[in-house]
Amino acid sequence: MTSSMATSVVPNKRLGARRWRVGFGEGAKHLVVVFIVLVQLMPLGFMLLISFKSSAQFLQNPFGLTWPFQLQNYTAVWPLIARPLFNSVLYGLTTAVGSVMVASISAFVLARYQFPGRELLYYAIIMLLMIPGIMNLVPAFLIVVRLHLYNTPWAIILPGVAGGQVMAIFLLRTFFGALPEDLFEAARIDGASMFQTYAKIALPLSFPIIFTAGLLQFFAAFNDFIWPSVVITAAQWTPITVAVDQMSGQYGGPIGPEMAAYTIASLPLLVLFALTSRQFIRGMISGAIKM
Amino acid sequence: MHLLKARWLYLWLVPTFVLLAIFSYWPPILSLITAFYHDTGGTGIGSRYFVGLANFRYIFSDPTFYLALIHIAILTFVPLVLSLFVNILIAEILFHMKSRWWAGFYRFLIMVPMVTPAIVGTLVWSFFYSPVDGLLNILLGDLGLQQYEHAWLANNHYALAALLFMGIPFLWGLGALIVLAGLQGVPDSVFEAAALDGATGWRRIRQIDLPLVSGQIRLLIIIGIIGGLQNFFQPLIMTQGGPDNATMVPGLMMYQWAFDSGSGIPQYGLATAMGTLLFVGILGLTIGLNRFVRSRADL
Repeated sequence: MTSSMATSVVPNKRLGARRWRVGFGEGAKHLVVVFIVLVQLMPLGFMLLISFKSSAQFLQNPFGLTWPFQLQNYTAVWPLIARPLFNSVLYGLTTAVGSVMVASISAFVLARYQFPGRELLYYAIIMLLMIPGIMNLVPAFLIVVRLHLYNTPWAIILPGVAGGQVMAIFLLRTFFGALPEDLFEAARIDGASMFQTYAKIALPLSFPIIFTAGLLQFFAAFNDFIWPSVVITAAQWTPITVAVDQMSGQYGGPIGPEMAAYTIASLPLLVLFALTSRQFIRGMISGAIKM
Repeated sequence: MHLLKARWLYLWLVPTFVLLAIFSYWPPILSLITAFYHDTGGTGIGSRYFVGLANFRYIFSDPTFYLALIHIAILTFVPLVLSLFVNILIAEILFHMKSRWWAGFYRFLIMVPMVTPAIVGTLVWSFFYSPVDGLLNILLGDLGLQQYEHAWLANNHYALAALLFMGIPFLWGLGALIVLAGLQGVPDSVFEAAALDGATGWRRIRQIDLPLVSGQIRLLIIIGIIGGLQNFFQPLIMTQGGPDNATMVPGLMMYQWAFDSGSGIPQYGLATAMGTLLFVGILGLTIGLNRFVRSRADL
């Protein structure tokens, strides 16, 4: 914005030279961004394109549009991935709701009350954001086996809630802490219990940030691959990410249905993102920056 | 702030800390303990016994480990450098774009790969590289470059490069948006003052913008290094570390010892020893780097 102001005060004859020194004209900016975005979206573009092709159409014309669209690629794979898709939504929702519930209670207490050890407990939580997660994979698996959670949905949900609440506590504590104390003081004078001040005042006021925290958790749980592939072998509890991996790699098999399955696996999050991009982006950025 | 009977307050924190104790605090400790054992996960005699530092000694005497370190260094730092350049470029362009609507639209688009399951992108690239019906070989054939067709992921010379190349265009949506948010957080008066001083174009970017978002850039570097060194996702899905360990990385060695050992007998001792080593290495590097970059920025 300011650079355009600077150029606009330059006499006309020098405008061209000045623009060059600014680096890009407006059109060049679009050109560069569009090029990079196209390259970035290329794999997804080919996935969508080929998901509508029969094997013959793919051999004939792999790069272009071919008619008619083979919608049966989708109907063919749907029975194979309907249940995994349901499982993934289930894991996403339960981890999101669970971690936000647990986190909001703790964040509320840590933000609004003064008690011995408060800061120590808070740092014991948020230091987990700094810890490289790779070390936990094998021992967490051993723990899950020991607790007889192996091959049950709890093997995904409980560790998901445990890990997910950390970021949520982090986001929510900051928010709860910034609420004016008068609100809570007034409620207390009116005889509201601690739980009432939490449920009736703190929660409603912080709905947007709670939604954002839950949203991040849903995406993380839905996208997860390595952990579920390690703790779930039962077909009935397989999430979609693991299911599409199992479908793939059958070299020589028809590629269209495979791509259709990938497309279906990508759709829920894309739709959710399209509906909530503002909260999602804000949450991701504030989560990352505060780290 | 309100003072209440403290005992009740601690009760409210119980769910959080019970979950953390089981799934966040105990695993690192268990990892450190198991690293000193031979542990195959069985319950019979001889399935678990103390071995001291033998697991660590084994790892450090394993030539594959050093190969894996080189691979992970390449897979982390090459994309990191490229992505810093691309992310800053995109952030600058979006920040200076006149049309807010288009900037918002692009901001949405560059986030799309981040919200697509990583497994999908990885499998699609696997298909691109496939020797049978992969698009890359088809494209080379169509261009008359048959002699350059390869089984990309099954070829010693190309497998690692193939894993690098799939990062193209090295745009990490969130990274660009973090830099963009940094630029947007700078008061307009700073830029106006810079403009009055005649700082425009590349000079302004170099001397005004970049120093102002150095904190964000440092964050990108740290996230990139932490994430990169731990990563074994693409080798796991696409090559299983092969061919002939050409794409083996430390995280995958750990994974295979625990979950996919050739003998079918898990080696939890070796796996947790590797996990512990990675943890120490990454944490040390993060802290060191944080200090180094900060002291440089303060100059």
